[in-house]
Amino acid sequence: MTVSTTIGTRRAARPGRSVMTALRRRGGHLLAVLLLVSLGSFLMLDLLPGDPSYAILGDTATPEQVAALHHELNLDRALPVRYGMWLEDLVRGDLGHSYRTGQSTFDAVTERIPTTLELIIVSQLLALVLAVPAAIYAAYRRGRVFDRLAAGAAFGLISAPPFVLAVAFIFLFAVKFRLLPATGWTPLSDSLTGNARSVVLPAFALALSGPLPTYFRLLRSDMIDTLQQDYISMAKAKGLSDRYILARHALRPSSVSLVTLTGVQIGRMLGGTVVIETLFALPGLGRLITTSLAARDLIVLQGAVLFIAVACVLINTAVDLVYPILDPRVHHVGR
Amino acid sequence: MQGGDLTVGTSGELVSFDPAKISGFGTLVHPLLAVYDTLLRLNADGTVRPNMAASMKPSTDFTMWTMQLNAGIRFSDGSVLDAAAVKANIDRHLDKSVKSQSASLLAGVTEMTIEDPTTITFHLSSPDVAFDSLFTLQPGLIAAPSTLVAGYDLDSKPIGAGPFVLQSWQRDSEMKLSRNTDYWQSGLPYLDTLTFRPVPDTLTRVSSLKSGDIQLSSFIDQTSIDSATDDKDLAVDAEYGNGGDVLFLNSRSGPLSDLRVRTALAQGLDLDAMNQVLFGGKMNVANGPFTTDSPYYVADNGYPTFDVSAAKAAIDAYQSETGQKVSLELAVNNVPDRIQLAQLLQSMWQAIDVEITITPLDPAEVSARFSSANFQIAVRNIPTFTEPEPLLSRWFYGSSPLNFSGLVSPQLDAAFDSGRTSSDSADRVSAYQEVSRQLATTLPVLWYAHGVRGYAHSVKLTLGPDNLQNVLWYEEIGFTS
Repeated sequence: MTVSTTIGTRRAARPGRSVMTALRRRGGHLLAVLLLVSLGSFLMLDLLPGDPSYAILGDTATPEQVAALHHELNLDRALPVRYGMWLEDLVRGDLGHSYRTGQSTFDAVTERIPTTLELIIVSQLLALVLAVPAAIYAAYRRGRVFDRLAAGAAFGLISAPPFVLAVAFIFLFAVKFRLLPATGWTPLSDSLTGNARSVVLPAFALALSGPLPTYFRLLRSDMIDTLQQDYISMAKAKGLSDRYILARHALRPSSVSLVTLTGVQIGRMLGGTVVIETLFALPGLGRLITTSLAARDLIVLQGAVLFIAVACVLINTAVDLVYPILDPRVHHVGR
Repeated sequence: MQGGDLTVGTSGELVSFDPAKISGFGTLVHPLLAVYDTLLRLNADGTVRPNMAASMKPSTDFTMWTMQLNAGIRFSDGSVLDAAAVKANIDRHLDKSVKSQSASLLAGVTEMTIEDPTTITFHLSSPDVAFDSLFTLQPGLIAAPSTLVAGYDLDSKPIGAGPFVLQSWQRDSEMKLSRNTDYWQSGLPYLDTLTFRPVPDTLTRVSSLKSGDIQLSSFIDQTSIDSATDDKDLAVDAEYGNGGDVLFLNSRSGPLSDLRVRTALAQGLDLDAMNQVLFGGKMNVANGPFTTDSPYYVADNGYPTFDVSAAKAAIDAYQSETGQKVSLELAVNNVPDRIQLAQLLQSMWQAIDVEITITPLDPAEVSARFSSANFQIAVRNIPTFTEPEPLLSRWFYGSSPLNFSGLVSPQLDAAFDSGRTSSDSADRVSAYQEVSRQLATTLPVLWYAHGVRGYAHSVKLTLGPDNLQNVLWYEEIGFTS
């Protein structure tokens, strides 16, 4: 992501003005990014081998039937023409319908958003709740047993792909001890406990395979730097407790990089959900992308990619808005 | 016992409840069996038995078939399943604008006559002794006529006369069905609810069975079946069936248009080594489409046996005659077991001086490459079948759109014609044994392994007496405790 900030050299902007400026600027960014992403994905999907006609007509399709269907779906038109038609429909709020199922792309995407959103939120919370205290303590006890153990574990986890952790969790917690379900999804609206049981394993697998060890390593490193600053020595000299210094003087300035990374990680986690949702049989966006890609359901795929692009831009805009709160020296450039 | 909630794990999500949009009867389309039922049903020996249709009788020359429906069967919306409803469904399959995947199966139907509310006659363009078996497949799934009108969402709002009724469906999550209280067979179904849950990853599906998240699933690979067999809480019904994995040889042009080269490739296959390397000694070796327990099986059908010297001599003869080295492309699905197979074939055929280039294909590309004849050798599965017509003939009959090899053999076509038109069972056996011989000697494909299909399920579940390898009748399934 891009972070347009200056530190300390300008007079601090009023928070309200800063937010509005950032929103205006991000609105332009959003449109530009969406155009680029949609064009890029259109080009890439066009390069994919395979033909959606066979997913609709089956193996018995004759070349004449395939040609007729191409005409019906406008697949026989040039790429720029198809892209233009898609953009025109998009402006009218129509993302098209699935080639295979006939379901509206908007419905297909929106009915899967809650699952993916919940999975990512819970994973992020797990990662932050576990990584932040561990990183603070490891930095505070730098070089000691806990620091070494935690650093080793983080190194191991960051090397483990999500599917390895997912399979291991399923074997241990679903098959061996039968504590949690291996597959399936209970919506929050159906049952709170059922939902919690169905989200725990996938969320842990997603959190442990990337965000948690990454947050730990970054925050530990920043905390070690911060703890060597003069103002920390001053705080110690004033007799403030270690706990107070860590929480009030060291953590906040060390968190800027962590917040940036959190925004970036959400984009990466959207990619991770493709694997996790397939393994745990969850009805989310990642699963939709997998099945649409396999069937060359390009219209649905395009809609899902567009949504992810919008989500990434919005998340990073939100991250930018958090900087001035964390560190008053940081303000957005109002250009 | 009566009652209970069953969750079935499937390998993927159902595309649609529209009978025109499905092909085959794999577990992916089992929800349609539960919602629609079928007009007729197939026995394990290939014979047809009544179901929603009480009988189906041919004319003496097999160009007309008359179906008598059971009276009083109603769709779940209360409307009557009668001859008009059957005709409306078949008409829709034949309507080109619908693009039904069953249209080719019904291509021989020239006219339908409604004799009375429960009787319909099908007029065919040519004799077909196995025409009734079509109604054990997709054309036997009858949707309420009110759902066949333009604008109705038949993809996700089916109305059938089957044992279950769709309650809710969240794609890629769960499909819940409940008992049809007006099901035409009294006392059935046993289950209160039936849930289909797509679990695409095979390993996870086995784990879900073991953990009890799902109580029934089908598998088509030996590893999963072995894994389920090892669990004392699970029962496994698995068997090998007709069909299986084959290597399609595109005989339209190039070296593969020469029977000597095709025969040499067959002679270069060391099936024992393949069995040990790829199947852990459990491969059901195939010499043709039929398994050893099929009446159509012929042990000495002429399929080439492993003979490196003879293969090498044939390739040498071809090369000296044409001046060209035999170099072929092998197209496989881009999945680990197929790649492993391709590498093994590459090494085996290297020993007979045939150079193989492996091309991994994305599954979506396979159909396009096959249909456009843009391949030389390709690995493909011929799904398990009981009745050879049309599920075997469509792959090899000269004019069939699925004749991917492009080989046209008048003798083979004649054997299929004989099997399709002969009313005498001994003649049919003789005809399909001739099919086996013709396939073994003309070699449009190389056979190596019959497919395995197994159902693994909780030991507390009974599947009923009439289930076939690729079809489960859900009204017969129940819990024992």
